[in-house]
Amino acid sequence: MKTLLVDDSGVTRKVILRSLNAVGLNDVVEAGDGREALEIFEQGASFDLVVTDWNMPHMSGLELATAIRATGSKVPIFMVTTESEKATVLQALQAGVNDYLVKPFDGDALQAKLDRLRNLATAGK
Amino acid sequence: MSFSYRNSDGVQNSVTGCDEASREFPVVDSMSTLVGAASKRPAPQQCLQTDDLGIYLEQALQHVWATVARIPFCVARTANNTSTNGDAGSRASVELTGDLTAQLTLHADAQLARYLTEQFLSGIETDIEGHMSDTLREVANLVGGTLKSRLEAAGLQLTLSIPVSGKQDSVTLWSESDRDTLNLKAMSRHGSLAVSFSSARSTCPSRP
Repeated sequence: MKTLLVDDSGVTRKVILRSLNAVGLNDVVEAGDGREALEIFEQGASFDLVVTDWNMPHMSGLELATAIRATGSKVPIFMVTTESEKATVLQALQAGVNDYLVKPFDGDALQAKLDRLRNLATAGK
Repeated sequence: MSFSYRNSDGVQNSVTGCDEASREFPVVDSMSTLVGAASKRPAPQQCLQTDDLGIYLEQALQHVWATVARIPFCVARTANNTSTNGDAGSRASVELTGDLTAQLTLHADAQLARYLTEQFLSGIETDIEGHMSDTLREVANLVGGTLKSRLEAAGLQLTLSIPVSGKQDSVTLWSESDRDTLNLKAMSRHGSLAVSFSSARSTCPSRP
């Protein structure tokens, strides 16, 4: 299974990467913002999961999710963000985000979410 | 209560009149609970004054600290000093714009910046020094984002900037008469964090 991990913070990418690896997701491509991620996505690589931050330079995670759905892709999108206000979370849902975790999070919560998404992605294959 | 700590150069410090963080705050961690929730934002219940903002800021700081630092700490308001005992450390800031225009700046002393980075990267990275600035930017993003969510729940509509190292220029260009500044200091056995929150001066009527 191949994962696209998008966050402008290198430290946060390392933290999430550790959790991805812990649930057996070892094939991970990293991007520093939404624009870079979309370029990678549009190059034709097939991803089974997208994990993205919301607040990033050049292109936000919300814009990235919208752009990915516009291609017709049904890849599960998981957003990790500080945004927790209900209306904002609904905005992410409407953009095509499948699941959501509010920062700051503990490693166990992240790992549980990723494990569930991995199972969903496997079942959808 | 009083709280004592030792900074990175071994100097003993103490502060009185502050509380260790012990409050817990609910976080939204499930999309399913939100399906069907009203998307309309609540109307602001009150005109936010500097003291109101200070309470929201303390809550945001405590929430983030409890998750990323996981050690007891003490937070106190300070008059105007955002330095951390002259320690260079790491500094990062974010801006909020919209119904409120404000800049949040965090300054961790070197000891705390190292500790926080070690907490983030435990077991996965040995170059701690090289990641301290990025860590503090992320902490500023976490505190600013948590504060934004709390203010939005109170009815404000806000946008959070991308965190940067150091101070951003826009708010620092405001004159003292145009802004209110809150200063907090969080202290722990692993160092201290100075927090400065400058916002456009409130036009709220004074409360009795």
